[in-house]
Amino acid sequence: MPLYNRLKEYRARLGVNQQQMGALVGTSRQTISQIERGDYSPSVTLALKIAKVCGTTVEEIFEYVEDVR
Amino acid sequence: MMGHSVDKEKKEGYLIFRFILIILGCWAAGYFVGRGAAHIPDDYLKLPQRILENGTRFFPFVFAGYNIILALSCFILNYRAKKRLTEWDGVDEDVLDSVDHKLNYPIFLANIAMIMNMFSFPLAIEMTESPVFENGEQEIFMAAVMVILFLGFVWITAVQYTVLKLTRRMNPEKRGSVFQLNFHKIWESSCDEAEKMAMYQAGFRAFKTVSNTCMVLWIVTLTMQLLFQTGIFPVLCVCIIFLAGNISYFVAAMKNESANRR
Repeated sequence: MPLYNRLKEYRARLGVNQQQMGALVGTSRQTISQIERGDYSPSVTLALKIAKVCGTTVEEIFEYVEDVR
Repeated sequence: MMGHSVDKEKKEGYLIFRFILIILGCWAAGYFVGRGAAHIPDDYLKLPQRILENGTRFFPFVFAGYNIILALSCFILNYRAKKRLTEWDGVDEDVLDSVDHKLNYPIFLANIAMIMNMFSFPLAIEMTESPVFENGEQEIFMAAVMVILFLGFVWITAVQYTVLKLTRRMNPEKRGSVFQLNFHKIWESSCDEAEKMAMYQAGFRAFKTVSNTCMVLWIVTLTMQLLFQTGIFPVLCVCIIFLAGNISYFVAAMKNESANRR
């Protein structure tokens, strides 16, 4: 999935761990971990929730990069 | 654009040709197996019975042996995961992912053991007919099998319980107990979108595997019916599993389709 993100960086700015971040956006710790590793692309709803909690826009956290292969 | 369409048609033609070849190959194999079945000596037909008879004396040891090995493996894996979690410094969050991953193995092994035990029990009943038994030995054999089966049930439940307890310790939002009859439903409702996606992907893969296995088993049971006169019941069982899988898959797919349309 060519979706890169800066969630780890924004989470560090908030000063919360994955468990706490999960609780803030209503999801599990594993999902936060998977998003940070780039193993899972969140739904639009979850991406919006994450952006809202981080106090920024979705585009600031998630970046879609065209797959050139 | 036109060339693309011709290529597509050629590919489709090749696929149809390959499919017809496979069907013809299966038909020919079925024909020769059926014809060959008529010429098999009687001694050969008694082979499964002989294997059963010779294995009867060792069976309780094999049954207990694999249960002990699997139980020990599960408890060691669970203990290691628990130890890793206890030693966690609370900073490196990769440790939690690693513990989560490690906990899949004891559950997998416990499920394998459960299925093996489910097979071993009717196999033991079949073995009680063996002529190797002398006066009263059948009762001792069956008592031993029942004790191992019960202990097997206990350790499998214990592994599921301890793994679930550890998983809930790491993920407090998770709900459900192994002692609840609708555990899967409760567990699923406490999972988020990523976990549900992973579960559904695994479910689809399982559906494909079961469908392919049913096709192979249908051929095997049909061949066994011809070679060893095993009767129609094994074929019926395979067809019921195949049918149940397909019905439940298509009902769920259609329900989702109509829910999305609303």
